[in-house]
Formats: sequence, structure tokens, C-alpha cells
Amino acid sequence: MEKTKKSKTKPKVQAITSEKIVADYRDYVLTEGKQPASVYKFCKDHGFKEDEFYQYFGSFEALEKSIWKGYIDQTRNRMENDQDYQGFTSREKILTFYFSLAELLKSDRSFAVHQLKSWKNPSAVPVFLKGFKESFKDWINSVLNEGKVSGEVAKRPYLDDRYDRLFWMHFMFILQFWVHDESPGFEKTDAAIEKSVNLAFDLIGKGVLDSALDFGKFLYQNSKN
Amino acid sequence: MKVKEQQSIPVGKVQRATKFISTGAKIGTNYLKHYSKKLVNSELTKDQLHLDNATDIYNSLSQLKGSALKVAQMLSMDKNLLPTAYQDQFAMAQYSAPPLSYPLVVRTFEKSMGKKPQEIFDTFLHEASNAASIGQVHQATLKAKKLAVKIQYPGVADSVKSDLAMVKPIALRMFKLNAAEYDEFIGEVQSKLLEEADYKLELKRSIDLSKQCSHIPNLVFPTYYPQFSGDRILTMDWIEGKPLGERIKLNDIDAKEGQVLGQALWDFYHYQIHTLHSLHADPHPGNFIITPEGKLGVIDFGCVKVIPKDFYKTYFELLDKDTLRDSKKLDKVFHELRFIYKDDTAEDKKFFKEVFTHLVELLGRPFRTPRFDFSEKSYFESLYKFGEEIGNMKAFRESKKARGVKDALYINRTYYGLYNLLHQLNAEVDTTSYVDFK
Repeated sequence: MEKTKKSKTKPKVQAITSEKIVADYRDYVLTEGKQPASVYKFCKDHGFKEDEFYQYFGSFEALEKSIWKGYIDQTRNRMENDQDYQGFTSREKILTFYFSLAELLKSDRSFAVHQLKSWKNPSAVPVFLKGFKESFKDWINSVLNEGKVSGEVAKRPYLDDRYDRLFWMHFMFILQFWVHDESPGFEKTDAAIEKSVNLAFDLIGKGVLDSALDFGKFLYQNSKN
Repeated sequence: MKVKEQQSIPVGKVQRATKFISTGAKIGTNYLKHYSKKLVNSELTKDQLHLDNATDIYNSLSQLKGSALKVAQMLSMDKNLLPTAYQDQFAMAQYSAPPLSYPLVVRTFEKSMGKKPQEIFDTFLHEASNAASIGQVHQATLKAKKLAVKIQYPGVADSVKSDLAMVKPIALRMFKLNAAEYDEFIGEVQSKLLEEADYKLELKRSIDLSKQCSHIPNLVFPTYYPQFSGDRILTMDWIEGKPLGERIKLNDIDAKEGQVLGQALWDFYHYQIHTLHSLHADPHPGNFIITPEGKLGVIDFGCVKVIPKDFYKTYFELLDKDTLRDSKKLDKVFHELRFIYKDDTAEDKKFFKEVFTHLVELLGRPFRTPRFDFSEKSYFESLYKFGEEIGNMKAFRESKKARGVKDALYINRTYYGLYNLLHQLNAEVDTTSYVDFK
């Protein structure tokens, strides 16, 4: 009797960590298929105090945001510690990012898919992705700037500082593709990443688009005369 | 800091990547152009497809049916003709893919092996050295030994069926096949393509066949490494030398070398056919390497045809001298191979028997002399001419039956490729070696 009592009290003695709160929350959402009714109920059911929850997260939304932010930070970390990575071209860096992220998300697919499926309005960024998006934009801009220096990404006034939005939309496409991918090992997502990144780089590299813009500008200027 | 590092990074690499992609795109559009034109206007195709050849067979081929097509495939000895035309047609979606980027190579490798290439090998080249049929080959080293690592394109195995379904309407129109013929024919092609995407099977077959053939003179087989192979990865020794196709193009194979290589090829195929009853069914010049010692390296066992016993017996009875002279026996064999059907009209029976007898006589000719000179132009010209004649025969075009059996498809293709290679090598071959029938 005494022994069981001891082991029961043990977790209470341990400090509540953010990891434990996140794990409990993820478990609840995946088992129940919805958010807990309130922070109060959630804390009560899992045996910690509300102020312990608020010490780490302001709300369930903030908690979800931190999960997604964790995905991207971990991906960047893992990738940037790879020896090869620093020598990669921008195209290769972006490919590596998507592949690493896809690998990471695979281990947490149920939760990620649950969240992404609840996202009904594709034009608005859902709250849970907001922190992720900032981190993504930071990173993609640094990679694109490197690409501009190396000449891989064409400099286009007005346009090129909007590339990050283009890549964000592209990333949303990949996420949606992955959610609906049923191929073994999500191989088709790999193919979709490879092909779409190649296309994106053909578009932002010097090429047809620049000639078209140049010609358009020429026609416009001459029509004014 | 990072930006500076990037600056020194390889503009060359970027250019190469772009070039890769534009080449891939170009090949893709060529196919599209070619096949869309073909559907609309066969005249155009004729000219484009045979730049080097005045004889038109492709046009006739497109009007052939079922087995006539398969037979014509054997007949059309122009190396650029049918195999590329219809094989690429079926595999179009796969073969026109640009090479994998290095990150995807790493990803595919890691998924299959659980480790990154640089964690297993001492060096691993970022750029592919060759394209294999449904993957690409990278050079690696381990303890100073050079290795070839074949990596399969992700999603290939999964897409075979849908690719084939996609080309069905085109194939039905292009070759004027009926749906039943198409299904039988395509079933065989599909099972072979699915096998090609199975690297574990390929590993097993490569090890088996190369071991069993290792005693044949002048052949070289790489060692395969199961510990570095997986469902998408195949690792073997790197064989030094140049691909046979490249050497043929350079036209620098001397008579003696051609002789040795030709005999090695003949021995390799006939030992497999008659002793192992299972063969490397893809005698594509890219699947062989001529080593600096003038030996023949065999590097790709992706496409292996197992020959069923009954079929073997019947098919090779055709090459028996006596069969051609014995009308009754010939009838029996022709029925079994479905060149002739029981319910054919007497007139049809007579017609098809004549045509196929002539065909068998022509194609079997090398087997009826102890030595045969494949450099002989007149032989290939008569084959070619007869193929053209068949193409223009109304009875063939209008026959509603598939003439031939599915097991013959890959055997015919193998002979087609073999004769062609021997012709290009100008080899005179001892045709009795390893051939096991009277």
C-alpha cells in the first residue's frame, strides 16, 4: 500500500515541464479529436495547477503555436549542423529543408494532419502556424539572399522582395500535398517537393521571365511615345 | 559570413543543375512532339525517326497488330526503331525525368539504409555519373575501392501501373491493337517494369546470374554488396571502362576486339537461355562496359525473363533444322505459338504459314551454320526488307487475332538486341557454343 502511494505522489513532486504539458495536450487532442473544454478542466484532469500551465503558455493556441515553431527550429538546427549543408546551393538548401521537415513531421503525423485538416480557410494563416511562418520567412530570406549573391536567384526590382511570400504559398502547397499523400513512406511528397522546387527555381532564376519583363517594359515605354 | 561562403559556391554547379533540367525538359518535349505528330501525321514521324535510313518501316509498323508487331520488332533491325519508339512510349513519364537533386539522393538513401551516404562510404560524388533506367548511379569509394551506387527515383514503383494505364488509349490507337491483345501484351510489360523497380529482387538475381555465368570467358561481373543495398539502393563494384554504346559510336573497336566481345555476348546469352532458362532480357548497349583489358562487363540485371519450360521447348523447336522441313511438325509448332489458329480460314492458314516459315528461316539462319558472320550486310538487308513486306501485307493488318504468345515478347526483344549488337561489333561467331539443341 505504502509503495503505491509513494509512486502516485511522485509526479506531483516533480516540477511540471512544458514538455509534459505539450505531451498531455497532444494526447488529449488526438484521443478526443478536439481541444479540451477549458484550461481549467485540462489542468484538473492532468493533475497540475492552472498557474503552472500559464507559466509556459497563455492559451491552447499559444501552445499549438509553440509545437509548430518547434518543428521548424528543430529542422533548421538539424540541417545547419550538417557538414554538407554550408556548401549547398540555395536550391539544395531549400530541398534539404523540406525533406528534413517532412522526415520530422512523419514522427508526429497524426497531430500535424489533425491540425492541418482543421484549417478550413486557405487564404488566412491559421494561428498555430504564425510563429512557424515568421521563422520560415527569416530562413527563406537568408537563403534567397545567398542565392542573389551567387547569381542563382535573379534580382528583380519590386518582385524579388516578395519571393518569400511565393515560397510560403509553395510551402502551403507541399503541406497540403503531404496531408493527402497515401503512398508508402510518403514517396510522392518527395517527388512533389523535388519537382516543385525545381520549377520555383527555374522561375526565380534568370530566364524567360526576365526576357518577358524586359520586352514588356520596352513595349510599354514605346506605346507611350 | 554565410553569404560570403555562398559567393564562392559553385556557379558551375548551378549551371550544371540548370543544364540538367533543361536537357530533361528538352527530351520530354521531343517525345511529346514526336508522338503527337505521329498521331496526326505519320509522314513526319517517318522522316524524323529515320534520319539515317531511307526505308520506311515505322509507318508500316504502326499499322501492324499484336504479334505481327512483336515479330516486326525482331525484324526491324534498325537500332533506333521500335525498341526506343515503343519502350519510351510506355515509360515516357519515367524516363524523361530530370536527375535527382543531391538532397533527394541523400533523402532516398537515408530512407532505404537508415544512414546518410557519407556515413557509410568514404566518399560519395554529389553528381550522378550515369542515368540508369529508373534511377541514377553515383560513384562512391570505401577503403580505396571504387563502388557504383544505384539510386531509384522515388515513386517509380508506384507509378508503373498508372503510367501504363495512361498510355493505353495512345497505344491502342498508335498500334491499332484491340483491347484484349493490349491487355495480354501490357501485362507482360507491366510485370517486367514492376520487377525492374524491385531492387531487392534485382540484387538477388544479379548475384545468382553473375555467379552462374562467371565461368564464361571474357566476361566481367561486378561484386554486389547486400549490406549496402536496400529496396531503393543497389551497390556494386565500379567497373572501369567505357559503355559498349559509346565505343560503338566512337567506332574504335578493332576487328579482333569485336570478335572477342561478340563471342562473349553470344556465349553469355545462350548459356542463360539453354542452361539457366532465365536471362538478362535487356541487351541494351548501355548495359555493357568494355573494360581496358577488352573484356565485357555486364552491369544491369533489372530485366530478367524466366523462360517457362513448355514455351522453351516449342520456341526453340523452330530453330531445329528438321522442323522447317517437316510440314506436320511445323504446323504443330505454329499452332502452339499461335502464329496460326485452328479456326483460321484455309486461305489464312496457308498465308500465315508461308510468311512465318520464311521469317523463321531468316531469323534462324545463324543457327544453321557452325559459324555465322553478323557483319554481313546482305543478311540484315534481307531481314529488313522482309519486315517491310510484312508491314505492307493487308492480311496482317486486318487480322483480328493476336499472332504470337506473350512469353515470346522479351525473348524476341533479346534476340533483336543481340543480333544488332553483334552486327555493330562486326563479329563472326561460333554459333554452336552453349547452344543445346540438335
